[in-house]
Amino acid sequence: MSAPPDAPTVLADSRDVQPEQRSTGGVLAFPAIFLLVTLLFVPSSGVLIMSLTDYQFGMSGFAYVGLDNYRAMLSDARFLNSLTNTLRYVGTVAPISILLGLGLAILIEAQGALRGLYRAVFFLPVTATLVAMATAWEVLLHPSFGLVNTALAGLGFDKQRFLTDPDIALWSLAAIGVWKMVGYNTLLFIAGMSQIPHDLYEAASIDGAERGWRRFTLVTWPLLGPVTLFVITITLIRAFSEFETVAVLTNGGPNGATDMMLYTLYEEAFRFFNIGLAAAISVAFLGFVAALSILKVRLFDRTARYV
Amino acid sequence: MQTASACDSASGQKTQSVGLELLDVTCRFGDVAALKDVSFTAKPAEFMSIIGPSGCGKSTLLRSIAGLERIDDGGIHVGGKDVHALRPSEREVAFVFQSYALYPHMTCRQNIAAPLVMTELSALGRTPLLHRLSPKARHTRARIASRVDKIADQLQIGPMLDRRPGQLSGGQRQRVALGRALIREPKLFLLDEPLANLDAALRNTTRAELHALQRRVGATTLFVTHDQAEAMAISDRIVVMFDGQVRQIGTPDDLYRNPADIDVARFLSQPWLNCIHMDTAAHHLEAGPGRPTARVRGLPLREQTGVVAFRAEHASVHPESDRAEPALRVTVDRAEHAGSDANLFVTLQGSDTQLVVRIPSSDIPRWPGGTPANLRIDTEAAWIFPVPEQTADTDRDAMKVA
Repeated sequence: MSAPPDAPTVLADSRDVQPEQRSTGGVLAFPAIFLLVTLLFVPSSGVLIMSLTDYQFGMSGFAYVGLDNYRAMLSDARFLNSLTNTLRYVGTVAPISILLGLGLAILIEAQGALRGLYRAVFFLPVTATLVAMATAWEVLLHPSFGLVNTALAGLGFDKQRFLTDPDIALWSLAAIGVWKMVGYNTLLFIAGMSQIPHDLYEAASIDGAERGWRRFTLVTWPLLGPVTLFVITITLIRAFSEFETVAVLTNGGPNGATDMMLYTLYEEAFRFFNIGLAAAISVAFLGFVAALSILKVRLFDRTARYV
Repeated sequence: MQTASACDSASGQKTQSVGLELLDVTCRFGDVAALKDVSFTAKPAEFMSIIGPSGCGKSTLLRSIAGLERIDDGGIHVGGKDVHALRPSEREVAFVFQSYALYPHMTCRQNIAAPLVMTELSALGRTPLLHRLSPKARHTRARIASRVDKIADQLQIGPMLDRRPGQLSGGQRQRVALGRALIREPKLFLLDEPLANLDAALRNTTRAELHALQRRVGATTLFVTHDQAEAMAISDRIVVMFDGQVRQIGTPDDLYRNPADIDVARFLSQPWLNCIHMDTAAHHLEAGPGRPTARVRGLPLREQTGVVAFRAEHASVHPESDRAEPALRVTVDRAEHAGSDANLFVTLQGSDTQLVVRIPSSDIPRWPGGTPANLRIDTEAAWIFPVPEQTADTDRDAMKVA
């Protein structure tokens, strides 16, 4: 590690910027601003406006209905069921995939020769197309001839209807969700660990924290703070946005047991053409993701300063 | 764990200091031997510097003593005790890193306390809030806090204790790193280029403070540096290393007056060591009617082999007409102002050997470039060395030997 800079970098005061620099800056920023506006701000504002109207596909006009759509959403049994399922799914997948990712990262980094192999193995699910992988899971979890049930039967357990038993289906999807996300989290933690200066570990070993829990609590875990925050946010958002496994494996069934927010949104919008309700769900979803992102940026600013 | 009496001793008092003994320490990285049979002894309370060019193994040696590198052969004894099987934290040594290696997420107070927190508190005692449950942990924590305050007073960093390292200047971070080392009341201080990241002005004052601190604490100290002036200024003795081996050990004066070989002499010469081939020197010094046999330290040059080496301050330059004494005929190239002195760079006539002579800076106008001159050597201060083997030891090896 070379000498850390003593003074924080001072950004040029905006008052010092010359007018011609300002216009050059505007020209350079234009493509990004244009894309942001057309791809993000216009559609989201459109959805926000639609959520306040009774618009339906194919209708020529629409009327302002205030918060009726939101009231309908909050009293809609299907939405409440899918929100509950989503929260249970997120509450399972996020902690498991984060803790497992951290554990795997520590184990892989402690491993010598096979490090590269392990990294690749755990990262593969991230690179694979999930729709194709979901089909593979469907075969594995098939109630009668799936590999998992064959194994269970071989070990003397009862066969399970993993995707059609209402008590199990959501947890089957959660297991696939963990499988999908843990590699990405592991990779992020490994990247974070490689950023920790080696001399801090040496200082720790002289200070009496040579290995194990002491070393982890003194150096590794605190210095992984910013990465952990990022992993938590991204995992929550990704788990919250779960759609493919639901759409491919269960269609929200059996009996709504695996119905989740994005799937409900999709069905309300493109199957029942209930645009107002779908827009309200979209806004609720957007609100959740935005809140997480803002929280992350706030916390990140506070904790990441020392890195 | 430290005993209560050790904890209660005021940090200003001298700790009982111990010696260090290295016996044939060898350390290999793959096929490369970073340390080859390094042996020396440091007396209790001695301030010893280890100097040498980059890659000579000085940092590896320090890290081996701390237990950060595994040694392949030899023995390290701290206070008469073989530390081979001990972990770094059990060796009772303190290590100050060049980068300071402060924990960035902790306040300075926590950084300084870290060695005690890690060795004297249980996992429960280290846990925030929960530690209040244990009266013993409360007591230990209070004792640690008072020791941190004492150390902070000593290093004058009291006002910064609640800041994080990222909010401090380089000099302040360096003090915090020293504090973290001092609080252990170590038997042995290991400092790995602790001044290298400070600016020039701060380096000089800090080095004086470091020396005073070492005298006050009385701990045996090994100080690694690549700056020979720094080592000369504050050491009791200096170990000079080249290529993973100890070349010479001695007081600063010893090393300056009696370098063991040409590498050591070169390393301790500013701006460089002048080297002239024996025959060339004899030819120059004996040219002219009735010149006596040229001698260095009484030895006739014609009967020796190797090079004549002398420092810039052991030569003087005279007008071409002044032929009273035997001299080398040179042509002036340029002068470099260095305060009260100046370095005058000249070329030996009839070759491309560059030589340098120390002159008073007020004399610079007398020696414009291109002036022919006579260069006299103080033959009692010059040395005769065998022709050095071409090694990659120093940058100055690139200098040609005529």
